[in-house]
Amino acid sequence: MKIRSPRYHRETPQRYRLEAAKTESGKVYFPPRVYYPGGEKAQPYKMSDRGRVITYTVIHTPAAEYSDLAPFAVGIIELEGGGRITAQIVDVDPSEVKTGMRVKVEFRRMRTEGDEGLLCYGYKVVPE
Amino acid sequence: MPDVGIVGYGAYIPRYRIKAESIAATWGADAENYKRGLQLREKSVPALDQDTITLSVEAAKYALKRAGIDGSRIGAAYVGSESHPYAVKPTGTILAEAIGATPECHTADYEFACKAGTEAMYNVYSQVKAGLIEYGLGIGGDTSQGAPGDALEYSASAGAAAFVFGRGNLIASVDETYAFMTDTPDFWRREHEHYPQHAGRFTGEPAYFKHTLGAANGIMKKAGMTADDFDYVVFHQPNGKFPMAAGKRLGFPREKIETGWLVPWLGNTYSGASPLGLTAVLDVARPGETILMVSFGSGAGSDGFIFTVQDRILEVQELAPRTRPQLDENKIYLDYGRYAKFRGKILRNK
Repeated sequence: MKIRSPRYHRETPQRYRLEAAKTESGKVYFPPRVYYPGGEKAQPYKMSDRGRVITYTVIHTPAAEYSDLAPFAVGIIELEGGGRITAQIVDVDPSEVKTGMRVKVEFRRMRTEGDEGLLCYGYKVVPE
Repeated sequence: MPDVGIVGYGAYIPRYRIKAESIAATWGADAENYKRGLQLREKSVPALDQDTITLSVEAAKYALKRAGIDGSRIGAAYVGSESHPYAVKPTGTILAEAIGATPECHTADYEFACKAGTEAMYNVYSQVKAGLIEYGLGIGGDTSQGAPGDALEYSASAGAAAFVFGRGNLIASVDETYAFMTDTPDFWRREHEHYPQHAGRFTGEPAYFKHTLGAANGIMKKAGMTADDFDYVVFHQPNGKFPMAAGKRLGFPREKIETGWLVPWLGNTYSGASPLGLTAVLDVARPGETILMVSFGSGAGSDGFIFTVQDRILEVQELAPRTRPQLDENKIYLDYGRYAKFRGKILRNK
């Protein structure tokens, strides 16, 4: 399945630069929203590139376009300073991934649309 | 003392490696020939989700960290590579977007075989010197290609180095530059071909040595310096033997070459090769030390730079991962089968 250029382009601030929003009470929203709970105001916030694994699962039978990468781990990562992302955990044997493991965000190619389509980039995490 | 030079640098080397023995065993070759003759022991391999853009972005982030500036202050971002992921669509736009340099940023992709990285550095330096931009990024990065079974397969590797150039607050001043170039058909790749062709031994004396020695002698003459005036020298390193031979002919002792001589363990990162040698030197250099850097790109030409290391180097060396630990630690070795899969060398159904 091919991603449409407008959608890919619209998401680059988050996929490329982890641009989030932080409310007056210090809560981080990723991606930013139009309205925040309780009517709070929020400011743009760039999330940290360091964090730790909160939980993860190992994918052995992914969608066809990710089959070359299997098996791989996908985890929820809590970033330093607030905010959580769901990200693939790469450059590590999935059997070595542990809850609480420290990780670093890296810029990686997320999808390759055959020989003709877009190359889609974004964030993954690697052991720190 | 020149007030334009490097204000930040960064290196990125993938974790995956393949040993010369694994390649030689597949093709019935003698690994010792490559290890002893060309001094190629192992090489880096990009992960399945890495390419010139991802390697360059990581190196650029480290360079910005050492420069202590935000990406939005980068006025030009040039990436030199012979493995730009798109045939038509710039590497530079994706890189600039990822580091937050858009939209007020000039980008261009450079190609000149293994010299494209220093071309990017030269042009960013020139723009800063001309006063057109405050800061700029010059990057050399590649996920280079070598045909299966060819001698190049033992060397073609992956990595990137990035340099922020600016005025003032330097970690290394640029004291002199020089370019030496002729039309020499030693190595090429035609459009739509996967792997480059090379002219065997013709890549040596008439190509690598003529231009490397020409640029080194030319820049030293221009600066009124000799080999004795330098603490370090970094050459392009297509294999382990060539830079050592070039150094010897120019009168540099082995110890002045070794710090920036990464190729036996890294392979040839093409556009990233001499730039990564420079990051390895900057990792350990002390204020006041002088560095000669000479790149080489087939086709053919060499760029020369003379740097003097400044006091601020000591404040930035620890701010991002150093080059040598990335090369020596946390390695993941691949067998030839996985390497072939990683590099897209297996014929598959679409």
